[in-house]
Amino acid sequence: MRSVCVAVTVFILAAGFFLLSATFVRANMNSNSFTIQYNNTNMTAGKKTSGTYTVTDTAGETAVGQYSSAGYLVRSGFQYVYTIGRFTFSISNTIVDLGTVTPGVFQTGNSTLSVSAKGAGGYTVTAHESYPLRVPGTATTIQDTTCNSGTCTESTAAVWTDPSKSGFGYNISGNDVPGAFVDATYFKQFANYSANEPPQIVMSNAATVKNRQATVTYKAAVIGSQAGGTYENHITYIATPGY
Amino acid sequence: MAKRYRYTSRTQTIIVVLIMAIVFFVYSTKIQAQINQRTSLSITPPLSEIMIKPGKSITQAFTVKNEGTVDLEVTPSIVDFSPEGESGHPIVLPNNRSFPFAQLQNLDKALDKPFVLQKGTSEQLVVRIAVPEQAEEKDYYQTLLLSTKPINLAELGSSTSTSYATIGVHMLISVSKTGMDLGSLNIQAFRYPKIVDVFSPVVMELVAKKNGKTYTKAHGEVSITSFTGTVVKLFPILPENVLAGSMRRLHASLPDPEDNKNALSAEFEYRPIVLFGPYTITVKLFSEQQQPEERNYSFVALPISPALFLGALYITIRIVRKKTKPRM
Repeated sequence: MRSVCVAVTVFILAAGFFLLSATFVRANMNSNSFTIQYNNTNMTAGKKTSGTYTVTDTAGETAVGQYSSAGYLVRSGFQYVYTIGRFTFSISNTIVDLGTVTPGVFQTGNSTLSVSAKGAGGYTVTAHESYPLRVPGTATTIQDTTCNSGTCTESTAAVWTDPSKSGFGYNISGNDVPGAFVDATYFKQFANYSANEPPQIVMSNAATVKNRQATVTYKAAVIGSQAGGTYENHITYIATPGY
Repeated sequence: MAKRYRYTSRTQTIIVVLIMAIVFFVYSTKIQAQINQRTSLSITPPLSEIMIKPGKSITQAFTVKNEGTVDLEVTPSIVDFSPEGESGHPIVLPNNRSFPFAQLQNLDKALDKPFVLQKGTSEQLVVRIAVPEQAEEKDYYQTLLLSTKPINLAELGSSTSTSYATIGVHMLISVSKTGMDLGSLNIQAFRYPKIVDVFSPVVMELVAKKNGKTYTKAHGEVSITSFTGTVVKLFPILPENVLAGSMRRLHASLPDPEDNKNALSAEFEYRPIVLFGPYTITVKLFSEQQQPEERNYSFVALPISPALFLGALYITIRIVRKKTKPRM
């Protein structure tokens, strides 16, 4: 009976020692060439070193993380953001109905852009149009606006309050929008993708941010000689996190 | 007979009008729903940095979720991006494709082939990068772009502009045999006021340029030392990536009040209660495998606003005295 008790005690002590040592090993694994320190509750995280590099990674999900071997190195997320969040982009009112565009009257529509870049080093949203507003299948277009003074382009904003100046353009107001949109009277053209104009920034912030919103106002005006018809185009917004 | 015919005809008319009303109601409701629909997409992880030897391959997974109110047709593609001027903002170039070594490993998905992502669901895209032995050692700055299009868009019958949401994540890919950083990170510009008022903040801008073949992370600090030799402010530099051959305006690292493991980016702005005398700004900048480049700059804080205030006070008193002085 006594020997059984001794055996059980030895077994418990051995098991306890094994569990303790296993815990210690899990907290701090070392070898001559590789060190892993776990200091984060994510899937993998912490500081990793080898003879040639030191890495702090912030992986948090299956198939996301760092893989290092003799031949490749992958770092996911940002070194200075330990909790990886989702980068989210939303557009309200996907279809902006400009109604029946009549000469001498502005037609407008709105949509709201929302960005959540918590867990990412800032963000940028760019915009471009597929082509100027046009009757599908024809070459009949409403040209992009040049504003009151004929000076606004895809990169320069200007006042557009005169509906006798025909065209199509946009204003944007809210968080992180370009300073060129001084107030609601300032408009720009969308960059024309079919003419190889580069997409233009409509929202950007270098900081980690959450719930940033801006309202885009689309505006169209025509003159009396504009051909009748249903005009349309597509605006593509590209939202990306920082790098 | 005629009365019965009239009765039938009226019933038919009512039924036709009713059907037309229902069709119109359903159609207009559908259109209104489309006008009000919201496209929302999320993706993780937000950035991947990949260093790979020629002849090796890796996979990297991205999870995309449709968080909007409508099913989407999603087309994945891998395109170039380039940093914009001094700000370093990434500009995605949908027409430029310079990296031919990536494809999707998913059996049911391929690059440039649309797939349906129903609302409320998520999908994992596994990007496989296989670099051939003879590939040139250089950096590729790529964006995994997910272009979306709402499914079943109806014609409104009026002029419309339809917005498409495209979301992307950047991949910084370095093809390198040694994994060693080539080139250095240098101070391209440092802007600061040479003379400030004693009550004004000191706002500084630091622009770094990466010379060499690969991108690197900026490290270092910006410190302000008073004439007594005391360091009155120390800004650690946020470890932001600076791409090869490009510039980037850097930011200070600020602890996140919500999570002390995170850092937030902030401007280099020193805002004490009062400044006085000469100060020295020291900028130390370096990349991961480089000795720090150190430069010193000087500014002086003068009592400009107190002097203006005292001057204005003196002039006012003189004027008041002159006006109130009794005439002889």
